[in-house]
Amino acid sequence: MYSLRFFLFLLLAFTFSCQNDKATESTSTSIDEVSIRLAKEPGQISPFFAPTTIGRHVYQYVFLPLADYHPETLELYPILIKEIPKGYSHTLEDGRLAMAFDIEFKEDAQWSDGHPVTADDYKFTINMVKHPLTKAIKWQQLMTNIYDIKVDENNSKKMTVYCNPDYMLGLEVVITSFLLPEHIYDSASQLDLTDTTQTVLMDEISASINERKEIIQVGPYVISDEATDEYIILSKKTDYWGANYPDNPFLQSNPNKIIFKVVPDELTATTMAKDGQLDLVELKSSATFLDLRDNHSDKFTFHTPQLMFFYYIAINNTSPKVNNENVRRALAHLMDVDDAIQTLDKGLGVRNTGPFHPTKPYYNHKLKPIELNIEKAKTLLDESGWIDTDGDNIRDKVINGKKTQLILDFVITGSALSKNIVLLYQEGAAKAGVGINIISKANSLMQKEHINVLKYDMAALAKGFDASPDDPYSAWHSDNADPGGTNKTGYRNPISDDLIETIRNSSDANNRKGNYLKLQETIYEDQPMIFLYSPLMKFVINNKIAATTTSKRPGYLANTFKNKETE
Amino acid sequence: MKRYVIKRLLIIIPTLWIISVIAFTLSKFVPQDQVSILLEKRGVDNSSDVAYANVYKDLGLDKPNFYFAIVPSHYPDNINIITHPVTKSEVLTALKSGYHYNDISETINNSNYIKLRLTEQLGGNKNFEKLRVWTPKLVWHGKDNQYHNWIISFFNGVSIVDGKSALVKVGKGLQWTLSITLIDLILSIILAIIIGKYLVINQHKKRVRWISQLLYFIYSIPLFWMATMFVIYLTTDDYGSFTNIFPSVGMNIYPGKSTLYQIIHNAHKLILPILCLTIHSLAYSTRFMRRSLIDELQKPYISTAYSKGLTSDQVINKHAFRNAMMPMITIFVTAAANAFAGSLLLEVIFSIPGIGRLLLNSIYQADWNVVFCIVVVIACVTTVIYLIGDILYTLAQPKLRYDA
Repeated sequence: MYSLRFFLFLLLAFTFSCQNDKATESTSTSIDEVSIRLAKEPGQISPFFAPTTIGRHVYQYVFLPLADYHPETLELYPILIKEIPKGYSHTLEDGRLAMAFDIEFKEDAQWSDGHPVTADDYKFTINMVKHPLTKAIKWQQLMTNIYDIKVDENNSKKMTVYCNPDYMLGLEVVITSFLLPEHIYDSASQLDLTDTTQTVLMDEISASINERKEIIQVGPYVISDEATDEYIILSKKTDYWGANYPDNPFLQSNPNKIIFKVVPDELTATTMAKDGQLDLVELKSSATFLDLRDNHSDKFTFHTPQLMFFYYIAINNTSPKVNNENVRRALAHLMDVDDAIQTLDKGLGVRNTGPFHPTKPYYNHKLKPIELNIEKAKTLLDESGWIDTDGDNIRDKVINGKKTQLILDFVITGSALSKNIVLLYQEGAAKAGVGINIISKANSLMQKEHINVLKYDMAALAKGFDASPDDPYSAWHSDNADPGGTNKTGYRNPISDDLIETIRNSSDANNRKGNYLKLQETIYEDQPMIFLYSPLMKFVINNKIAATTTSKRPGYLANTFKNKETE
Repeated sequence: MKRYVIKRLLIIIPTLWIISVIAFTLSKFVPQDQVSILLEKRGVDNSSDVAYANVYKDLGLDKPNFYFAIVPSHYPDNINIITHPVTKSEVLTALKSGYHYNDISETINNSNYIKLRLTEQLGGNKNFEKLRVWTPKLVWHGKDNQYHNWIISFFNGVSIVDGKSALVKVGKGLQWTLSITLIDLILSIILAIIIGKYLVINQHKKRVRWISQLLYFIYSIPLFWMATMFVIYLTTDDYGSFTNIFPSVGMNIYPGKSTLYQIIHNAHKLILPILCLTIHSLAYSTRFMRRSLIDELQKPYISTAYSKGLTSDQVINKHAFRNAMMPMITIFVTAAANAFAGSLLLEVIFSIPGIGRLLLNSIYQADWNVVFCIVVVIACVTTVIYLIGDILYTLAQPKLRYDA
């Protein structure tokens, strides 16, 4: 009895002695350090071999491209090079026409081991990506548009890059490439594009995917410590050459350290933020974000830049049930998108009406969103021959001699968002006599068994963008509309095909704009998918930090953060 | 006793082998495309056939599954040589219909082949006939198979997430998990014995009923909910500074220091998760302890002990307690083995980099080298725990020693 009382006393005493030791914990409210939450482990840190969205959070401070989109203006801005080059026409020695760009690297640009950044590094990088044995698969196809690179014999910082004159993103492909140091990976300059036996060399280069602390790069930070699934610490380079350019947001290094902490659970991340252990948290839950905004505005600042991303409901245009544009338009009228934004994201979203993101300069703002209209949907379905002949509240029609009910297989990934989207949709569909059969699968399975092979009727999906002009060929051209292709809705329209080809072959942004607008009108008429909305990013930032956010992924540049008190 | 322990240790090897075969077999049925996941990490569209085939071969998925296979005679020796999942699925359908693989292969290699119409095209060719009688064939693949590579990967496998040794990663995670589960077990045992004895000695008092009901109530609360409530209410001052009792969640970082150093210096942050685990398991263990003691106290030798003039404390502590520990050893051994499962939830909620969280992340990322390593390590730990349980039985019950 006494042992029990004594033990309980000890336990309580011990417990109450465990006060929150804020004084001794590193709270990182000082701008010496900025702590940022990562929702999952980024894995390999390489823009070449593992160009993931989560990886970008880290690698954007270690690796730098020649130029990138400015976080405020979203226009191309020089980083490693002196200026954005202007293209001019040139005929190559083999007779091919090319678009030429004269590029010069900054004099003081150097790698973290002190070697200067030169045009040879660029040439090596591009050849590495173009090599038949490359593992940088994502970039390989794009880099085939670069025909040749000529390094200036008198100045290793200068070069001329020749690319496909008909490719709309020629300039972007040339100058938004990251770099690898030739002197580290191929000091003997052995890389040969035509030699398919260079497996050892290519494997050595690809092995850099697993480098972290060993990375030699041009960015303002190095990875000084890391533990997989726990944290990654970036430390500011001392005597960094980029300090000569204080106005360049990509070269700044205001915090001495940027600490990325892997915290999968959002509640845990919120609690850590309240306690000062995290300075920046990106939230998925709008409810949590608004709750913090309403109750903790003394501790945090709240930012909602528009994410370059939108949600949509794909419709399989090859399915016999929905291969009619009136049926698809009817289906579009069954979704109350404004209600969805309110219900799913507490109003933190922007309506989308077409295949491009609303922040793009060529987005067609004249197209009116398709509103919820059950009666109109019913009329369109009646006109298309879908009528409830047997009184079971589900429309039917004879297709290929067989009576077919309008029950649509709706595929989702099982995430909370996709489940909510389909449930909202199901409600409206039922009122118009359209049945929805929900099929829930893991994303990779959903893609493999349904989307890629066009074996679905509808699917809740999402599409991401970057700041460069969109190339609609892969997602919208009929060349890619067969099962296994990249046109996931099987959409075909010769008018839109012509517009896409014209867009692709135009390197002038003003010329392209008119065609982009017409393409959106054409797609709007056909309604190959139901466009939903683009969510806003939700950042909660410690209010001791002066921070700006941007639509450019990942939504912030931590190297530009400053201490509000000393700013 | 020594012989018994050695015999049990030797049995671990075939046990682990059987577990590895089961784990490997189950991994083949997981509805997850490892190649697609890796391609997604590399930013490549799944529809690139060449990219898919390259990664498929890099991962060794084109090798046969096991050392041997027993398949119908019209099947290929190794179906895994077909890289594309859509084509593979079509081929399997055609094989199950009875078409010979040679005919299928000829159709696919024909320039007129149209994807997703294999069975149709086979049916349209009068030269191809379906087999009506199927006969089995035994195919020997040797060491060059996926299972064999899996076994080897326990020792030298690398994680596809970060290229680090799978064994090293698992070792680090295990240290964190063991630090929570071992302390939880010790606390649970001590508290269950103390509270169980108290409940038995005072069983006729009213307050004992209240304590029992409270313990049942706590046991009925799901562990993850309890942990979440603790985090919300006891680690912040949102609901008043008097509720901000425990340190906030998330481990402090000590760059460059060993895992053990990190654990020791984060010990204060592990108190709340340990408390969660202990409180949750207390009701069950205490109940068992109480029942076991009550059963012992009803036996005739206890009446003899009382009639000899021994006090209640002496009867319980010197006689009944030791016999009552036998079923308790079973409970604690099972709890120890199950502790790893409970730790997964807590590791996610409290942001502890333990083996449970590592297992979950590895499964999501199709990092099978790490998953396999974890499965084998947990199997090892579990078998050793049960062996310890057997040894404890012999200590608690001397009669068993002679039987062993």
